[in-house]
Amino acid sequence: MDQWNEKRALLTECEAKIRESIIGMEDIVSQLLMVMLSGGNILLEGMPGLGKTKLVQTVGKVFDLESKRIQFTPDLMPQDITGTTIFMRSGDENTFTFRKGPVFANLILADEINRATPKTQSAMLEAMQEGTVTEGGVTYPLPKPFFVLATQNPIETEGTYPLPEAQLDRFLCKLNLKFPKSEELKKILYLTEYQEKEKKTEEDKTICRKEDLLEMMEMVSGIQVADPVMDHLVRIMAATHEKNPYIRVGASPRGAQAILRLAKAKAFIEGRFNISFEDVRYAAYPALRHRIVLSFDALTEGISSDEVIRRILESCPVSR
Amino acid sequence: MKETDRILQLIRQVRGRLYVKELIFDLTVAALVFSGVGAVFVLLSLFLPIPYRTYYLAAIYGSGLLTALILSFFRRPSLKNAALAADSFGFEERIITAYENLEKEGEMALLQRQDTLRRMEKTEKQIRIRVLPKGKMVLPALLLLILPICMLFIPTAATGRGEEIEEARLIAKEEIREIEKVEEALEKAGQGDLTEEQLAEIEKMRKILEESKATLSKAKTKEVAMQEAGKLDYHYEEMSKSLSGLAGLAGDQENARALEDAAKTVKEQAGQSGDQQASADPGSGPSGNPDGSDQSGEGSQSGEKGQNGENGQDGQNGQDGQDGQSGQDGQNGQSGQDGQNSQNGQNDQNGQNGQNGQNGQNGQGEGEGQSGQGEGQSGQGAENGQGGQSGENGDGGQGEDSGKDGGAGSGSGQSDTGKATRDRDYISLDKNTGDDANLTGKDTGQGNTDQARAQNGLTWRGEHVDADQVIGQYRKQAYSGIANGSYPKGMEDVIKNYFDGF
Repeated sequence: MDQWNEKRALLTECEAKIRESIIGMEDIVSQLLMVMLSGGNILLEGMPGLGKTKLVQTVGKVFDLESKRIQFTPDLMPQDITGTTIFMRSGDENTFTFRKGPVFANLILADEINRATPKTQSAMLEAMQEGTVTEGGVTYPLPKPFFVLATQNPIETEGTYPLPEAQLDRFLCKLNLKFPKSEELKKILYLTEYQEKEKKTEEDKTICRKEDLLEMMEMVSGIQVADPVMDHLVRIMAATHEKNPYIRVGASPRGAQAILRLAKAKAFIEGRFNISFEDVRYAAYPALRHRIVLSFDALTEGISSDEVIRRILESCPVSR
Repeated sequence: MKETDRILQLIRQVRGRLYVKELIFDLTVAALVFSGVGAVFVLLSLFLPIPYRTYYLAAIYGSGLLTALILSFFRRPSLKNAALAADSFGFEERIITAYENLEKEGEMALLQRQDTLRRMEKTEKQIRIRVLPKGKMVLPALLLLILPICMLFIPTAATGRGEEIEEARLIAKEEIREIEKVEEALEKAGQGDLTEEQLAEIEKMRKILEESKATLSKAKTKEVAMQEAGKLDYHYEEMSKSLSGLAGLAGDQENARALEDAAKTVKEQAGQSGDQQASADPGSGPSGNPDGSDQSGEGSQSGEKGQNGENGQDGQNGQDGQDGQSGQDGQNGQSGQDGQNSQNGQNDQNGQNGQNGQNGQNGQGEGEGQSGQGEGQSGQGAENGQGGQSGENGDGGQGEDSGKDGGAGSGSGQSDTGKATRDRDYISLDKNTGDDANLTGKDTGQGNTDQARAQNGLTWRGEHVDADQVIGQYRKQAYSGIANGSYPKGMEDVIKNYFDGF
């Protein structure tokens, strides 16, 4: 029990540290931590300049994670991400050596992932799903923990390659970054223009080691779930496949796994050893919003994924 | 206490309260639904004659109660439900998770249980399960529960009719039971080695009984049931005699015994039948005579004791068979007044006169056609003799039922204090003709005379009254009638002589 409390306290401290650098985005920070504890990948959707890179850098530093940023462009090749085998001459000896790409890090920021070609995008698939990279018939394991934080711009769609459903499904959750409120914006300006340099030294301080994070991930995976809660989760998933004018395709079973894993992480953060109905309902939004394919009616009526999920949750009340 | 026991204890406590809550809720809903049904039923019964409506209402309530109990039993919460319900008080599904992992011994299950117990210490007092449903539901349920009961007390014509049907069915039921006994006795008697004639006789009896049974089953009024019962009584006596006769003629001892037994059974039923009729309306005698119960007592006795003979004379009055009957039925005494009125609604005067046997004239005079059917029954009690006289005087002469007892008086007069419903048995004497010289009515051959036997009154119930007191009261009434000029001229002396004769 003490060990649990200790880890939880450490996590709380990390969260507080991140919030010092990231103004606003309360939900985003919490959900980011939840995804990290679940061992999943995140798709961040938001306008440029909202602090996505800053968020990744901060998280990386606080958790002592090696973080890399990959700017996706249309001419980016898969090898540019995964690494490539190069010819090496050392004296009389000629060898082919694998040079690791930027994907070999703990925390990857895949910036504007939808700007790369599908071929390059799919190069991320194996890394995200299996945690390995295969090059020249050899499979290389990625360091643990391994997280991908991909971003995409929701408005600039020209010259982009929207991620196919199969690839979207590999992201544990999708977080929508919103424009900060006036007060938050003001704080951001003060922070970036006046205090940043002063706080630099302190900011770099690592609070949580990689090993601690891995232990926390192990603990989260053991969180208990009661049968009625699991039933509730299944009902929600089934509801995405029921006749609904705003849904073209419902969520996959991987969506249910995502909800469960996120709910576990939420329970851990809140100091519980079991999942509650509320955890499941809370996790449904980030886990399902990119998995539900909206219908033409929803698009024309301006119904968002979150609105559809809200209606689904309303149709599935908690039964006690 | 072990961690698991402590968690289970809490879940059981919650389950108990949930069960009570469910029970009360189901009872309230059942009260709402079934009371509504009951109210509609009672409302209908105010306009439609529905017998046994009180029992039906009780059955509706009983069904509601039973439904609620059954529903709540089948919907009783399980421990799992109780755990879930407890979680809704801020436990965030800790209890249900702990309950499901009670048997598990892993580190995580242990930690989860400890976490649940810690939370219980803080939050247990917050578990407050409201057992009673909302007031909005309880109040209408209570009101609706009482409404039909209150509505039962609203008197309407339909409710009265319903009660009458109820009484009729009660009488019919008793009579049918007797009939079945007699039928059984006849069945046994018929199994012997009997001659064709004997069998035919028994078959005839059975047929009569079947007919009576059919009539009783269809009886919608007490009068019809009583009339049929009266006829049955007569038939029983006849059958008894007939069976005894057949027993005497039977050669075989065994057959004779069987027939004798049957006769005995039938005779018993005849006796019982009389009793039952009397008990069917035990209060009618006295109620008819609030002032002169003594008279009725005597009257009834005399009726039984063959004053019918005299009545026969009254019957000869022919025109007024009513009086004849009433003679037999001293019980009705005063109530006779009303009795007449009821029959001869037109004749209020007659009604009054009906108090006195003498006024039988009037009864006849006015009753006329009706009296042919014997309705006027006013039973002026002991004064039948005078009734007879009146018969003589009767100018109505319409007594088509000129038989001895012209008219099948069905004395159902009402007294001031209550109903003097028909209290007698009747024996039909088909087409008997009086042979009294004073008979002035015409014999049309259509009249059925009824002989009545009083079975009511105080004496019937085993009470005794002083004859002098009765006579005194009658005398007083008669004289006051003379003083009031209630009687026809020329009759005063007859009345005085009558009383002087005692």
